[in-house]
Amino acid sequence: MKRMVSPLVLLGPALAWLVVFLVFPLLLIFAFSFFQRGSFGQIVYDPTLKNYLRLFNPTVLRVFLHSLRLAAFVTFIALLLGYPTAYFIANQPARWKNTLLVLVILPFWTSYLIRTYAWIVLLNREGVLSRLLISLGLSREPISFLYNDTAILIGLLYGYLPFMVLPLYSAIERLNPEIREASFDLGATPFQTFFRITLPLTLRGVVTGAIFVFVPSLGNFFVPELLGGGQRFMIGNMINNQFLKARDWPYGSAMAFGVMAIVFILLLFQAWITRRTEQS
Amino acid sequence: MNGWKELIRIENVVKRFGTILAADHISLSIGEGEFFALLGPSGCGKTTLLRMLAGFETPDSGSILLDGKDLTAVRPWNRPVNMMFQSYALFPHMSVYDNIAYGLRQEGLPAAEVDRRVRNALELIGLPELAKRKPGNLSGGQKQRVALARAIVKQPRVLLLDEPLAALDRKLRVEMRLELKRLQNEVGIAFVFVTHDQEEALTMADRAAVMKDGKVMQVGTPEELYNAPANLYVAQFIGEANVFAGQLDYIDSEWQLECGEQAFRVSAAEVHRSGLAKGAQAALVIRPERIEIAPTSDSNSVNQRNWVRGQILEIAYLGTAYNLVVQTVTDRRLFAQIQAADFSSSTFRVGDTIRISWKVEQGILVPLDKL
Ligand SMILES: Nc1ncnc2c1ncn2[C@@H]1O[C@H](COP(=O)(O)OP(=O)(O)O)[C@@H](O)[C@H]1O
Ligand SMILES: [Mg+2]
Repeated sequence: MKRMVSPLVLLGPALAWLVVFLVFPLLLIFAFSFFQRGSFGQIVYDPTLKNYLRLFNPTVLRVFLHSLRLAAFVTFIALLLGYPTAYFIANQPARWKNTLLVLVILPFWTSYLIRTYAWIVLLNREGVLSRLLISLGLSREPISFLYNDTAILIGLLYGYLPFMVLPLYSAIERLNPEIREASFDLGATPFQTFFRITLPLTLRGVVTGAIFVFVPSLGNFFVPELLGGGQRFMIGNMINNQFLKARDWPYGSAMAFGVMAIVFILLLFQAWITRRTEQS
Repeated sequence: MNGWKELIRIENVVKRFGTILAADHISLSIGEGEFFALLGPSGCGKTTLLRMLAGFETPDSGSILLDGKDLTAVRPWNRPVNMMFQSYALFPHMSVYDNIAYGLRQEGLPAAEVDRRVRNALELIGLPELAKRKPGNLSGGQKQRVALARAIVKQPRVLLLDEPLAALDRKLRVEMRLELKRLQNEVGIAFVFVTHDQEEALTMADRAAVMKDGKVMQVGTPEELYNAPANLYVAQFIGEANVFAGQLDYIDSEWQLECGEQAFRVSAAEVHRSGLAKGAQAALVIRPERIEIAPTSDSNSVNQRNWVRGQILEIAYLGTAYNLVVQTVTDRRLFAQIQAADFSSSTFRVGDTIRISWKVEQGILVPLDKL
């Protein structure tokens, strides 16, 4: 290999990929969001801000708010489940850690979509859970667990929990165990130590994990579609509908940029936390 | 020892990690206000013993008593014992001040009292101007002092220090020995100090326990360990040692060690001290600075002395003394340290054959360790 390889040459392929498949479509959509829908669903190149103003109608805002709440709740539960899991794995002997981590990412070996179908099998009226409850005598009639917010919550939580566990694991694993012991030694109970030492020192992992879960949860459309049965709408469905059903691409584009604005604010928050904890 | 009063008593403590015996029936007493060293090579179980004192490990059997009370069931956060970790383990997200205040705030002391004691501690370690710094912006020596202050400020009955100087560079390490010693005098707290550096243990400790493979080989003052080692391991671990192994014999009302090529006289006092009997396998240890050298032509009496002949392989000048490596006729290498005043570099040159001798009573007799 040549001794002086220009960094641009190494970066080139990835950069080209990003420009062609990410930046370019984004710019396209950004541009669309300022045009208008023609009567046949085509785009009329007539600049306007109307699409953005339309975001502020009550129906859209309600869906936005509902999606934000649901995604926040998914993130919160993922944190509650993910932290102890990550903590447990990080404190295992080295030879167990990797095995357990592989188990965490094992679901990624099949498509999320297919795994969501599996949840239909588990949760529907004739499904595994319903039958289990009947055979245990806890219920007389078949119950459907599908088509409500809880089903969506379960589906999103299931899909994105590993994204919470992995950054938390890496943050906890990096922690020198002697720091925790020093806290015990100075008179702090494990409970106090967790809140004064361990949690503040793994805050970056918490924020990263939260964003990794929150952002895709907010934008997901097939989980509400399949487990919510189209009854419960999230932003993703709404955007999807604008593009595929209403054929109002400019409006859909404006919605997409509304979501991106929220995500962008969150990333700024993450950067701020990272900088604050990096000082130490 | 004058006014020595037992503070910690370790009784028959055993600790296993899988198949490794990290503590093998350890029994020790540590006195109030004592500077006690745990000395031994890496992996011999020093840290494990310290961690059992702090409460981070539980002995498989045996007990640890403090002031006569069993500590076994007392959790680390309730023990009147503090530890300075080998990694210092400062809290990276807290300032120096908050690090030192952490343990006091746990006790629920009033803020004014916390402030007073933290400032005193900062004064004690000579870093009052660094109160607001984060640990990430401190030098190794400063971190070490802060870790020390954080533990001392709690005024524990015992301070445990795990290789506190190991991470410092040599010059600072030597300075910090005196500093630590001064601090310990000032606060009057018992220090249990782990080190693998025998020089560090000898210069700082009131008493030391020499450890090997989870066992305590000997406990004693630095002088006892150096001049009256209990076994060959201690003799070789503490200081330099020339060793002759052989069988102990009693001939013509005189004790001798038969070493095959030669027999050396052994003082009756040493035989008595070592508790060895006639016929025992034993080793005679001679410290390099106890050795005298003379030209072979020297006709002075060698009464009351053991001697061997050898050829000088190396001479190294150390300022106050010369270090010599001498090869005996039986191909054994001996180390001698001769005071500069007693050494004439014109008489002794590399390659010369000389006579090496030592007074009979300066040979140290120890049992030959089983391998
Ligand atoms: N938590 C542990 N798990 C397994 N083995 C350990 C553990 N802690 C210490 N050991 C083993 O116990 C022995 C003594 O270790 P340690 O007390 O750290 O020695 P030292 O501090 O004298 O170097 C070593 O062989 C070490 O590998
Ligand atoms: Mg150690």
